[in-house]
Amino acid sequence: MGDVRKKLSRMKHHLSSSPAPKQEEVASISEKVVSEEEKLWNTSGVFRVSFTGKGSCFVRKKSWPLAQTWGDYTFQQGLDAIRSWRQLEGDHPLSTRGVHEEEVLFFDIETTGLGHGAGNHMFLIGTVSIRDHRVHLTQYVLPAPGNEPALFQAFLQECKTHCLVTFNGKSFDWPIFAGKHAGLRDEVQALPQVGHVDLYHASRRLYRPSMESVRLQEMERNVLGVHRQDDVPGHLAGMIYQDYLERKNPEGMLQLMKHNEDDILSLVTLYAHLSETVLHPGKALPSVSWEVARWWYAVGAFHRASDQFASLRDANERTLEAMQWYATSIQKQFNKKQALPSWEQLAGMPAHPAVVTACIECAKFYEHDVHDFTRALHYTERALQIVQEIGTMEDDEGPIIYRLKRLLRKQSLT
Amino acid sequence: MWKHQTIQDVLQKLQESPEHAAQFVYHKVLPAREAKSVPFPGEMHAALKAAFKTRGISSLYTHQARAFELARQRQSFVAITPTASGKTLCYNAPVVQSILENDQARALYLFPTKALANDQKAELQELGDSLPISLRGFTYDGDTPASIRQKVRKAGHIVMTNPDMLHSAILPHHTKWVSFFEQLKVVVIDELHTYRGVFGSHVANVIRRLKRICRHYGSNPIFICTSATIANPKQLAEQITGEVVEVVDNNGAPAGKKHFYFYNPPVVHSGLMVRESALVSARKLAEACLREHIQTIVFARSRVRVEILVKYLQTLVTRELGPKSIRGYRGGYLPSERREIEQGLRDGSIYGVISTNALELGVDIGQLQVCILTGYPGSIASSWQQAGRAGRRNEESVVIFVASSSPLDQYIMQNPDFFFKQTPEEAQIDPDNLIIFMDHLKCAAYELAFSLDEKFGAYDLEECLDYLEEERVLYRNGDKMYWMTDAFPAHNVSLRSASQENVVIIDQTNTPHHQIIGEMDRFSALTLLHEEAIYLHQGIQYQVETLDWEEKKAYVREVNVDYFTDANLAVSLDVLEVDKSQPFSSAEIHYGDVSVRAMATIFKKIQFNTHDNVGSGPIHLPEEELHTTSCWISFDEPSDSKSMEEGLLGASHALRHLVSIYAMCDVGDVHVIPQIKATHNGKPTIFFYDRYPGGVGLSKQVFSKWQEIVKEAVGAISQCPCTSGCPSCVGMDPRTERAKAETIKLLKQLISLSKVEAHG
Repeated sequence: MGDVRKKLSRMKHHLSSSPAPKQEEVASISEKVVSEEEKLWNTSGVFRVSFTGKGSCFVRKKSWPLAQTWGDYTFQQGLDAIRSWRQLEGDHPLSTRGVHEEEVLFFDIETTGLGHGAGNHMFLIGTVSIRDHRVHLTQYVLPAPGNEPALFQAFLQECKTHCLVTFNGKSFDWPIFAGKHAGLRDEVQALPQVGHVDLYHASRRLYRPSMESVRLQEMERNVLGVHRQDDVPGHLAGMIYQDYLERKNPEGMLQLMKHNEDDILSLVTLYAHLSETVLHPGKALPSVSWEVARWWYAVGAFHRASDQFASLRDANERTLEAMQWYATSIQKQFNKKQALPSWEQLAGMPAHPAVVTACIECAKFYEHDVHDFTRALHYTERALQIVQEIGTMEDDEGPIIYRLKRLLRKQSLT
Repeated sequence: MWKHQTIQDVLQKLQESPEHAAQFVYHKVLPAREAKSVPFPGEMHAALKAAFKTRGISSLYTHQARAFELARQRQSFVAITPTASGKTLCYNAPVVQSILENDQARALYLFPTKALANDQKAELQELGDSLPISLRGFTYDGDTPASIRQKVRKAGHIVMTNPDMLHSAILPHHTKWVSFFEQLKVVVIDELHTYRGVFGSHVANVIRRLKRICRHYGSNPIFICTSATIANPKQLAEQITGEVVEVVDNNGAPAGKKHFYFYNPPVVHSGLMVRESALVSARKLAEACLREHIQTIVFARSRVRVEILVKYLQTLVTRELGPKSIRGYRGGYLPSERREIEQGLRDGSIYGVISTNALELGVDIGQLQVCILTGYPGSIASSWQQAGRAGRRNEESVVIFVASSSPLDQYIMQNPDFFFKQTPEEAQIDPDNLIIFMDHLKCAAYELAFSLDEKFGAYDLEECLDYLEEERVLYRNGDKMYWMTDAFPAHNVSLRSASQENVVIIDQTNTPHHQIIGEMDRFSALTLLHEEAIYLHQGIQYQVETLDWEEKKAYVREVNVDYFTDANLAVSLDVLEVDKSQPFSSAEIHYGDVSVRAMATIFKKIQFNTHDNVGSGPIHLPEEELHTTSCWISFDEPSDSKSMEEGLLGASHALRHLVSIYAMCDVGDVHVIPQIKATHNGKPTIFFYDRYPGGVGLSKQVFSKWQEIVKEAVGAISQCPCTSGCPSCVGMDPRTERAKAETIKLLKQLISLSKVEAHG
C-alpha cells in the first residue's frame, strides 16, 4: 500500500496528536541499564519475583508494629475494630464478622487511566494485612505490560483473603481487578470468594450530610488527623507509569508507591474510626450519630437503632423526630403494644408532623387492636387539630377525616 | 362531514387544472408483481415453522429460502431487498433456528440508527412470543438503563445495537462480554447500503476490530447483510465484512401497482429558463394531498429545504389539520423528537412528513399513499428507497418526482429512461483511508495488545505500530505492542461526522435555560453556522449570535425573519503527489493527493419567496486546511483564455451534479473547483476532491468513470432547451452567448481517444 510512513507524516496534522509531550529518545536498553534499574529497585527494598512462562513482577514489603500511630489513631485500633465486629450479632455493611482477622485485606490498585475499558492497565496492587502483632504492607508492581500473569500469580499465591476493605473498590478497584483476571483466567489460579467492605460508601453514609466531599484525602484531614507531605497526586499515576516504562528509572514509581502505601494505611485507621463511630456513636457529632442510628435502622438492627434514637431523643433539637424513630424502631423490634407508651408520650407533645404520626399510630392501635373507639377518636381528633394548626399538611387531612367518620360510625353502633 | 377524495381523484383534478396540466411531463405505471413462494425448508426447526404459521406465514419467498439455505451452510451473504419484501426474515429465521438448536448461541444485529433497532426489537419480540423458548432479544444503546446492561451482556441471545455503540461501548469493554463473544455465531448488518463514504469506511474498520475480538475469544461468526439495490452489493459487503460474500437477489416478494409522475415546474423566466422552485411546486402538490387527509411524505435534498418546506406547509395546513399533523424529520434531530414523529406516523395523528434521507431507512412507519421527491435525491438507489415509502403494504400508490433546475433533474425530465433503466450506483468506501484506519488501529490496540505478526488492515502493520510507538501511544514489550496512555481512544473518533470535531448548537432564547438543539460537522459549520447565519430547526428560525470556533459551540437565538442565508467558500489547492495519470489529445487527467485550504468569505441573505438577494456580510473564520485525495483535469494552454474560462465554469457546473451520482454520495461530498491557472502547473484545471481528510474513494471513482461522466454531461447540456446556457445546464456564471458551445467543445476533448495508454 505505498509508502505508509511518507503518507503518515503528510497526514500528521489530521491524525489526533500524541497525548503526552515528546521526550528525548532513550537508547535501547542494554544489559547494563537493566541491571542499573534492578539495583535502584533493590536499594529501595523492591525485589523481582519471576514465574516461568508468566513473566515477572516487583514486590515490596514493609511492616510496622501495632503500637505505631498513623494520624490520630494507632494500627492497634484497626485490629480492635475487626475484633469488635466479631462480638456483634447480625449483619452490617462494615462488619468483617466470620472472617479470620488475618484474612481481612486492605486493598488499593493503581491504573493507567480511568474507566473500565480493556486498555486501562492495572500496574500496581497494594495490600495490607494484620498478623503476628504487626501491620504488613505488600505491593506488587507490573515491570512492563505482558507480565500480568506474574502479577496475578504473585498476588494470589500470597494473599489468603476472604474479605477486602477498600475505598470505592466496589465500583472501581474490584471490577477492574476481576475484569483483568477474567482475561487471564486460563493462565492463573482462580479468584477466592471474597466479602467486600467499601469504606467510601460508609463515609458517604455518615459524613456526606455534614461534609462537602468524602474523598479519602478529605477524610484523612477531617477525621483521621493524617497530614501527608510530598504526596504525588493519584491522578498522575498513568503518566508516572508511562514515564517509568520509557526511562526505566524507578524514582517516580517509588513516590507513587509511597502514595499507595499512605492510601492503604489510611484505610486501616479509617476502618477503625468508622467502626468505632458505628458501634459507639456516643462520642460522635450529633449529625453523625443520627446517621449511625438511621443506618442501623436501614440494615434491620432495630434494637441498636432504638438504643441510638433513645439517646438522641434527649440530646438534640430533633427531639420529636428522634422520638418518632425510636417508637418506630421499638414497634419493628417488638410489636405495637410495646411501642404504645412511646407513641402516647409523643402524641402529647406540641404540634409537629411527628406528633401527627404518633396520634395516628395510637388511633390505629385503639381501633384495631383493643376496639376502644373513644380513645381512638380522641387521638384522631388531635391529629386533625394539629394538621390544621400546622397548615402545610393538606394531603394528610383527607385520610384523617375518613378515619374520623369511620370511628364515629363504629362508636354509634356500640 | 364531507367525504375526502381519493388519491386518484386528487391527481385527476391536478392533471386537469390549467395551472398544473402542462407540468405533468411523464407518467409510468409499474405493474403489480406476483409473489414467488416455496415451502418451508425441511431442516427448519418445527417450532420455528409453527411460530411462522401462528403469525400467518405459511411459506417463504424465494429469496428468504435462499438466505436460510446459505446461513445453514455458514456462508456469509448479502440479501438485496426492495422496501417491504420481508428482509427481516432473511436473518431472523436462521438466527432463531440456531438459538433453538443451541440456547448458548449468540447473535449481534447492527442497525445504522437506534430507531431501527427499536423497531426490529418489537418485530423480534412478536416472533419470540410464538416460540416455545424464551427468546431474549435486547437493544443495547445509550438509552439502555445501567441496571439491565449486565443482563443484556450475559443473557441476551440477540443484541441489537448500532455501529457507534459497538465502536465506543462494546468493543473497548469486551472483557465484560466474554460469554457473548465466545458464542457469537451470526453478525447481521442491516441496511448495508447506508454504510458508504466516511461512515462506511469507519464501519469497515469497526468490523475489523470486531473480528479481531472474536478471534481472541475463539469464535468465527458469519455475516448476514441486507441492502437496498446498489450496483456493487457484493463488493461493498466484502469490503465491510472482510469475508467472501454471496449475493441473494432472487426477490420473491409481491408488490402493489405504482404510479410514477414526473412534474417539471413551470418556466417563470423564459429568457433565462428559470423555473419555479421545486420547493414551491412540491408544496402545492403536498397541500392538495394533505387537504384530503392522504398521508404524504415529501423528501427534500437538504436539511435547509426540509425546514423551509415544514415552515410553508405548517402555516398553510395548521387550521385544517391541527398544528402537529405536519412534521419535519431529519438526521440532526434529537432522538426523543424523532421517536415522537415515528410514533405519530404509525398511529395516524401525523398526516404529512417532510424528510431528508433519514427516513430512507427501513423504519416501519405504516402506509403512506403518496411520496413526493423534491428534486432528484442524488442517486438511483436513494430514489427507489424513497419511492418505496409509498404503498409499502402492497396497495396502489403514487410517486411524484418534482424536478429542480439542476442540470441533472432537467436531464432526467427529458430522459425518463435514465431513471428507469439506469443501473443503480456503486457505494464507495475506502477502509484504508489512512486517517480513519489509524484511528481504529489505536482503538484496536486499546482493546487488545498487538502481536507484531498479526494481520490487521491493508498496510504494513508493523510500520503503523512503530509510528504509534514513536508517538508514545503504544509501548513495545517483546513482540507485543500495548496501549499505554490514559486516553480512551474511541471517545475521540466519531463514525458519523466528516471532521473529527462537531460544532454543538446551543439555543439561548430562554436565558438561563440554554438548550442543545443539535450538532454539525466543522466543515459544514463554516458555511451554515457563521455569525448572523439563519439556522433552521423544526421550521423555527434561529440566528447564530456567537460562534465560538475554539470551543466548537454556536449560540443561537430564535428569530422571525423572511430570509435565509447562503455563504461563499474561497478555496485554494496544491497538488502534493500524483498517483495516476491519463493523457488525452489536449488535456490530462490525474488522481492523487492534494492540500485544500478553504475559507468562508461572505454570506448573502436570500428572501424566502422571491429568492432575491436582500443583504450580505463578511464571515470571519479561520482557514480550514484539508489533505485529501483528488481527481483533476488540466487542459493545454488555450489560444483564447476567455472562452476557456467560460468552458471551465460551465463544465464545473454541469459536472458537479453528475459526479455525485457516479460516486454515490451527496452533492457536497465531492467538491468541484475550477481554476483558470492551477497553482501547481499554471494550466486551466478542474479539481474534484473528497471532502473528508484522506479521501474515501469518491474522487478515485470519478477518475475511473471519467468517460461515462463526460458523455452524460455532454448529453445533458446538448439536450437542455435553453439557447445559451441556464442554471439547469452550464449555470449562470459564464456571461456570454457562447457558454454552452464552449463547454461542450471543452468536454468533447475528453471523449476523444487518449494519446497514450493509461499508466500509474
